[in-house]
Amino acid sequence: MNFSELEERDGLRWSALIWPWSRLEATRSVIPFAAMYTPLKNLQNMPPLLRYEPVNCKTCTTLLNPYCRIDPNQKIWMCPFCSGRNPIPPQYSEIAQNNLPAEQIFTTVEYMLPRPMAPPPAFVFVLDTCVSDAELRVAKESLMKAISLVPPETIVALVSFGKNVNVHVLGFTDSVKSYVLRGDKDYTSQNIKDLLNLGIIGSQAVQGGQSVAVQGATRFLQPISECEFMFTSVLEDLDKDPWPVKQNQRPKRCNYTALSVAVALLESSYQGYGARVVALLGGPPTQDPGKVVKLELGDTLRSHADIERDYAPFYRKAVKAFDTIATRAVNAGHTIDVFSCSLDQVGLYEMRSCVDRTGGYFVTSEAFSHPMFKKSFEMFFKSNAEGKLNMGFQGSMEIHCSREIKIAGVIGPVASMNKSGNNVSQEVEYGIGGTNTWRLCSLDPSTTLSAYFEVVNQHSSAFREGQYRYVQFVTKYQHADGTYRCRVSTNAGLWTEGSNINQVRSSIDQEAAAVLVARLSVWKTENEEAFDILRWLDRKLIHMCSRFATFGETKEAFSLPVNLSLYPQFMFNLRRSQFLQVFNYSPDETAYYRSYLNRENTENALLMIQPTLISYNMSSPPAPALLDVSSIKPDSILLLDTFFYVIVFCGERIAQWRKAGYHEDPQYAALKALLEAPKDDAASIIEERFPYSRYIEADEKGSQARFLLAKLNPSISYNNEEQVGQQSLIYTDDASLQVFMDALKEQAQQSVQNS
Amino acid sequence: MFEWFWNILSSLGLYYKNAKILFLGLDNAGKTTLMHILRDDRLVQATPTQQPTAEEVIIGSVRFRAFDLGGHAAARQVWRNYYTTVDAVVFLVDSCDRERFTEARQELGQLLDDTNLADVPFLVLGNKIDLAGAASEDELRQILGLQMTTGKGTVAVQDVRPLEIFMCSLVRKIGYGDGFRWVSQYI
Ligand SMILES: Nc1nc2c(ncn2[C@@H]2O[C@H](COP(=O)(O)OP(=O)(O)OP(=O)(O)O)[C@@H](O)[C@H]2O)c(=O)[nH]1
Ligand SMILES: [Mg+2]
Ligand SMILES: [Zn+2]
Repeated sequence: MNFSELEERDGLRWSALIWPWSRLEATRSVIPFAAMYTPLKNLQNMPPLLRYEPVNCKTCTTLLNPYCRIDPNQKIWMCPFCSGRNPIPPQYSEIAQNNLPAEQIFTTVEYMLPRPMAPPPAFVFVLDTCVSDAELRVAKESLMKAISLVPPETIVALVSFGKNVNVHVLGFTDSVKSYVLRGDKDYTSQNIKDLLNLGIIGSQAVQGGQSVAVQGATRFLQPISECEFMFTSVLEDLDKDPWPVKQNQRPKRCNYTALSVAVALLESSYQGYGARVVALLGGPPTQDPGKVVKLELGDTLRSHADIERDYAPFYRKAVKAFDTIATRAVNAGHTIDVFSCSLDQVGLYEMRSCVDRTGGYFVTSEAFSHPMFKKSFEMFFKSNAEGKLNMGFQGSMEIHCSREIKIAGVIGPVASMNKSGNNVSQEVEYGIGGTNTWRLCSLDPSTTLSAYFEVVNQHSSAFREGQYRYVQFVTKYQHADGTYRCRVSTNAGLWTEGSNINQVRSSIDQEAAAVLVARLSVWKTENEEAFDILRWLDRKLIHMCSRFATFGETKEAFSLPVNLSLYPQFMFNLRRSQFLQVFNYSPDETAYYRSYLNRENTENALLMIQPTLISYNMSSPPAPALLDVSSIKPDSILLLDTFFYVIVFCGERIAQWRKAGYHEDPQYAALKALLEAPKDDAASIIEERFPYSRYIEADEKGSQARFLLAKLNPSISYNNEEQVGQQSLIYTDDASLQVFMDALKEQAQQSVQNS
Repeated sequence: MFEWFWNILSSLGLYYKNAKILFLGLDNAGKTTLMHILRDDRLVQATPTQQPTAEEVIIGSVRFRAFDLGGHAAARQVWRNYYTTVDAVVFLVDSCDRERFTEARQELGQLLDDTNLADVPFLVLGNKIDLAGAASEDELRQILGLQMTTGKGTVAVQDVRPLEIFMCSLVRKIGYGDGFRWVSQYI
């Protein structure tokens, strides 16, 4: 089975399909034993929803799946995970080899559990009012747009903040009112609950003369269908924060307290139900708790260098403060999304756990009026064909595995649920480990986790040909339509004897392996120096090549099999990427980029590591081009897609023709068509993409061309300028891919000789 | 005499002069290229700077916090947030980009007129002189309105803001050293 088939069938991509049987041999394969898993992937061939409870193994709680053997005579089924025997439950009494339920045929199924419906999802909007009037107006328009897009039963609340926090009353009121909480106070959630009177505040008669308790929280959290008018009035009434801003000072902002209040609103009234806090931020918090910079402009926002050298006096404290919010949100199962719109940093780096652990999104843009915010915000609230939001809530994912392997951890937009078990590795931890279950406060069809495993078989333990390992992913979540779902994917993979390195080699998915390693390397940045991480990547790559490459007498004889041939180049680009090289990026930008690498699927993550390049010219149809400076030609146009931005780049001659207006002349219709083709393609890429990508047009030698140049292999650099004549070159001392490969071949060969 | 003492302190990270230097100029002038050379003595090809970044660099015998601010039109709006307590401004100009000389002149003029930066020494670097067609120092002086500068000498000027232009090529690593030596006299 090929990799994309498996991905289409189960949303699963393994670093390699076949694994060596013993711990020792598995370690020697160098690449991590791991999978990229997209629990909510839209699978074409998944059977219709199963409208009943799944059946599980009495011993290990794994769910019934195609690898279970049924014995209709004895009325039992055998669990392949633990070899346990289970009675066939009465509802399956008809079961037979020719009459199997869907979960026994399909490796991925989704159950719709027979439960009462969950209430509609809730959104608490948190709006920063310390922005210019023009910006505030656009932000308010976007909020209006959002509530027009989501289904009318959706619950909303509005919290605005500046120096203080305003919680706006949306229900049981005829006039615009709000509760004010002090921005510089560290309220506990109980404090907030008391101050806002979120408990039961009275009773209300409903149909049939019964009276029901009225939650204080419903004054703030109301369905759009009920509160649209009030919501609009509140927004219309909302002004810029009135607190005066002194010269050479920043506005007083209480981002932390505002988030804390929003989380408390949901904690006390929506615990266990789907909800998101959607924060629109225009600047950094300047008040404690959570302050990241002083009020005075003379104090500048911390840089990477400051954080590394411990010259960032507020950093640790702020991280700690925001971590407590993240923990509260995770415990309640709620998500925090941050839309930051500012030309300078707003403290995303300190807030990263709030977003990354709760499955939220970071969206950054230079202003609320910029399309990167406006379009992303709209896309975020778009409903699908069924008129429901394209997201699931209150998710959890549990991994089961057969006894030869243990779970080492997960990297992705998840938090630990601290469920230990004997399938959890005690020895290694990759990402968030020490548990077999993770919380996914929200998830959508693109949410992709990487799960890392450890082989625990001893070298001496007997191996039987044709033996399988089993892994099952069980993802429970609340669908946006209010139903409770359980998606189950069960995977069986072959073991091979350790010496059988060919089998392992031919089953490696280099794309998945590269992304799995990339996520590990980014995870390491939390605790290790960049330099050490690069060294680690280099060592891994050398070892991998010395394990899987074939060598000869000369360096030229070095070769990797086709399914591994691109892997070194992925590593070359990963080393150079903004995920590991933070120079010229602010900590906020870094938090943003890394967040996406850790949540997108293999294809998108790989695109972030190694962008795609397409070349257009007059004489041949558009074709993929090498990600190399030599692809720049005076008479071609290049289209580069990096996931975060898309750039259309005109070669020098084409740019001259365009500037001279030739394309307006009907005689040169072909030029016009050539100019339009890459733009159309760029537009269709961007239309599909969340967050909305930056779109750039550039000409060779122009300022914007750097968006392209920085991503190309500098095969021609200023060091060999004399030979190149008119060809574009790159001014860099970075090693080219060729130099990198030469060094790699040498080192790998040496490492083979030494072992 | 006390130099050894300061050297030890600074190598221990105890002596940290929070001197602030700003790299300003239009996009593509070479600010980020300069920053990387000062930090690692290597050239890199960067993407256009979006949010301001800062690095600790050693110029002469002093550690600085150098701020690299994006130069595209939108990014220039944040420049003024960085004007307080500035010890020097380095303004870079691409001496080959004739189409944008006027724009560069306007931005430089506004900086020089800004009261917040009134006494701050300005080092103007005419970059990319390695390229054919680069403007000469005289031409650049003319076009940027820098006919009256305070002189490249070592004498301290009194009661006027130190302001001088130096031509350089970052990729050839020439010219900017003189500029920095000049400006560090005034810090
Ligand atoms: N030929 C030549 N090119 C140079 C020289 N210095 C810089 N460059 C190139 O000019 C471009 C300058 O880019 P950056 O240093 O990123 O420019 P910047 O001023 O930081 O621009 P923004 O970040 O957009 O404000 C790069 O492509 C450099 O390779 C030079 O001395 N000679
Ligand atoms: Mg720059
Ligand atoms: Zn079992």
